[in-house]
Parts: sequence; structure tokens; C-alpha cells
Amino acid sequence: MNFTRKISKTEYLAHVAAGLLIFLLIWLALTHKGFIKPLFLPAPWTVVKALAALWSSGSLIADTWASLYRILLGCLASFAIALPLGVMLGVYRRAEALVEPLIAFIRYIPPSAFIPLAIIWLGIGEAEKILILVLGVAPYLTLLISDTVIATRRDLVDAALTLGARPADVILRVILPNSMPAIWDSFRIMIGAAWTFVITAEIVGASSGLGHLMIQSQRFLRTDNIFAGIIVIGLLGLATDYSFKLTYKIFFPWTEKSHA
Amino acid sequence: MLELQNISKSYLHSLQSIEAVKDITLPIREGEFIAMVGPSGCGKSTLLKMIAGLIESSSGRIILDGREVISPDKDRGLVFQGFTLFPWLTVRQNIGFGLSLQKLSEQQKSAIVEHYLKITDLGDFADFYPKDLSGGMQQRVAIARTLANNPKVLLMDEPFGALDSQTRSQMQEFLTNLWEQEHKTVIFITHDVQEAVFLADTVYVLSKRPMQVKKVFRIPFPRPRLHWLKRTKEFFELSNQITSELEI
Repeated sequence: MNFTRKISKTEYLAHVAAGLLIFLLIWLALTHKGFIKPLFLPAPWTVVKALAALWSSGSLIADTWASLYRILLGCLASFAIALPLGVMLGVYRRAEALVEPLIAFIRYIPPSAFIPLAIIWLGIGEAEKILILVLGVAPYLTLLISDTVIATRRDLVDAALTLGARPADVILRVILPNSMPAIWDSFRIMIGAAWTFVITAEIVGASSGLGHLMIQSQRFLRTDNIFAGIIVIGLLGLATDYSFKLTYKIFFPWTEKSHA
Repeated sequence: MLELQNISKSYLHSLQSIEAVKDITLPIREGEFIAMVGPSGCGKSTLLKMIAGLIESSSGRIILDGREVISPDKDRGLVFQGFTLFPWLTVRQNIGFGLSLQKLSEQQKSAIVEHYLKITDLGDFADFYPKDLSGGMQQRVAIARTLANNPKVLLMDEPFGALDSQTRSQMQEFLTNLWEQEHKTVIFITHDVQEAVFLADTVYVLSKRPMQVKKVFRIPFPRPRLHWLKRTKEFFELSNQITSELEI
């Protein structure tokens, strides 16, 4: 063991496949001949069949799109709030003193606790779901961004100042580009959290979305459909994660990490 | 001309005032290359940062061409000891950073950038990111980035301190060469006496806590100075004399 962490791509993929295979085998074994009842844990192929049925009926696409749309809007709105706010908090100590305690307060309240209030304010439409998302994502994202900004290397700021940069130049041309890779990573992590919030909101009150699909399936004891929903969410999460990693390499070729 | 008038700096450390820099007064001629040598931790960097405008002095005034220094600006370029290239910009963009903050046409900008790419022999690396450059190359870019701004004074804070000895002497030769062409006012800080003697017209020996000017040496060696100068008897003797002054 020399701690190099270096293996070939094929070897890596082989291990990925092996991991999945082991997982499937355990699942198969547990469901074999009704060892665990299908009501609690359906067999893998039953779930595949459920996926196919949901797909061909069109409801899977409609529900997936409904959830994705909410996540997209909610995350964009959160980003639009968190980026300027986080930068302000990271740059100006006075801004931090002014709003950080409030943000920290909101951050400790689970977004689901806002659902009753959000429904009274906005009903059970799109606006309510997006509000829940923003309440869940924006405070965290703001604090992550402000931490990134605070960690900006002082010597880079000094270098810019001695090259004639004004305060606005320092923010826009040093702090922001220097922080972008870490902000992109924070965004990736918060989109994962966004799934939690959107599914919660959809389970409590919605007429569409993957959360709605799953709560309906529970009412009709369609465990296979619940699993289908879980798989779709997991796969979408993986795809999101992968696309963020890919865009990271494209957007930030100058980082050491872009080669990993 | 750059003038330091009675510059002092003290810090408050656990309710005690510590005098880091005491009453430094220096007139610096235009186009003069001065080196300051002093033991590490003596406050050399603090003095340089005060000239750059990054730190305020506790008392005294710094005057450049009749105007008092109150904040950092492009007329006083600073080359740092650590690597401070902007990692998200290529070599070419780093050199052009200061220019891009000014109102210059694209042609003017690229003409200046190309000039410095050529001088620093970095043309082949113009589109590289800093992470793909060696330490010596990074410092060459840092010098080019500062010079491209055409500062009145070039401040250098142990710029070759983080380099290996071979690269270091290459960089010293590169810098004398450059200076012989451009004749900027340079204040170069180092704790390496030989480096100071090789590069400068005037060497100031500084003392520790509080930092004061202990002795001034004029360096008589003619220019252009080349590497073999370091192996001559005169160079050796002068360096020894300064070193012994430093150790007292």
C-alpha cells in the first residue's frame, strides 16, 4: 500500500460495476421467493416493470418534469439571492453583522416547518413549492458563498490593489473569479439538498411531481411505484452531479482539481 | 522622486506597544536600484507595504513626486515573495491585468503585453495557466505584470526567496538585465547579502526591532553586471563587509 490512489479507468469502472452488482444480488436474495413480502420490498424486475408502465403512461415524464422545473426555478432564485448577498457578507463585516444572525436563524428551521405558513400565504401552487425550496437553499448557499469569499487569499487582493484595482474591480475581477469554483461546488451540493425540500413539499400538498407520485402510490399500496420514484430521483441526482463535475472542468480549467 | 520622511510603525500586542519600524528617512533618487538587507522578521516587508500603501504608517510621510502616499495605486508596483499570479488568468491575461483596468485601446494593450512576453521570454507560454508554470517562470510573469503597468517605483519583497538557488541566480541576472534597459526606481528587499550586492546601486543594512537604517553601502561595480561578478575578489570582500555589519 503506497497511498497513491492511482488506478486505471477500466479498473475503476470494473469496481463501479462490481459494487452495483453486489447491491443487486443482495436485493435479489432478499426478495427471493417472497422472503420479504413484495408489499415491503418488491423484486428488482417488478420495479423495472413499474418504471416501464409509468413511463408509457406518460405520468413519469410529467411528474419528473414538474419536480425538475421546481428545482430549476427554486435553485436559480436561490442563486440569484445568495450570490450577491454572500459576496457582500464575505467582503463587508458590517453587512455580515447586519444579516448573518437572521440567516443563521432561518437556517436552523427545517424548511418543512415553513410549509403550513407557505400554504396559507400562497396556496398549494408552484409559488409555495418554490418558496419552500428558496427558504431551504438560499440561507445555506449564502453562508457557503460568504465563507468562500472570506477565504480569498489576501495577497491576491493586495496584488490587484497595487496594480491599480478599485474596490469594484477587486470584487468583480479577483474575489468573484477566484471564488467561482468553490461556489459552483456549493451549488452542486445544494441542488442535492433541493431534492429533499421539493419532495417534502410535494408529499404535503401537490397535484404533480415525483413526491406526489410517491404519496399516491403509498395510498394504493403500490410499493413498486414508490421504488420507481426513488430510482428516478437517484438517477437524476447522479446525472446532476456528473454534469456539475463536467462543467466544473470546462468552466475552471485553471484549477488543480480540473485535472482529477 | 520617492521620499520616506520619519516613517515609524508600532503595533499593539497584548496591551504593549511594539515598535517595529523607527524613524526611517530616505531620499531615493529616480532610477536608483536600492536593496535593503536585514535579518528576517525585522520589518522590511512592513516598510515595503507602507510604501505600497497597503499598510498605514504610525507616523511620518511617504511622498512620491510631491504627492503623499495614502493608498495603493499603480504608480507603485509590488512583486511579492509568494506566488500571487491570478490563477484563473493565463500568462498573457495576467500581464495585461493592470492594463485592462485602464482606458487603453486593445492594440495598445496587446502591444505592451507582447513586449513583456518577449522580454521575459515567455512567448511560448502565453496561454498557460499559472499552475502549469515553474516557480521561476511565475515570478517572471509577476515582474512582467507589474512592469506592464509602467509604475514609477518597483517594490520587490524577496521576490526570489521561494526559488531554488540555481533559478534564483538566473532570475537575478534577468532582473539586472531588465533594469539596465528600463531604469526604474527599484526598492528590493532581501536577506541575501550577495543578492543585494549583485543587484543594487545602494545597499541599506537594517537592524532588528525596531528597524532602523544601520549603514549604507554604495556598490561600485559597473554595469552590465553578469554572473561571474559574484566570483570576483572585490565582490566577495564587499559582501563579507556587509554581512559582518549585519551580524553585529
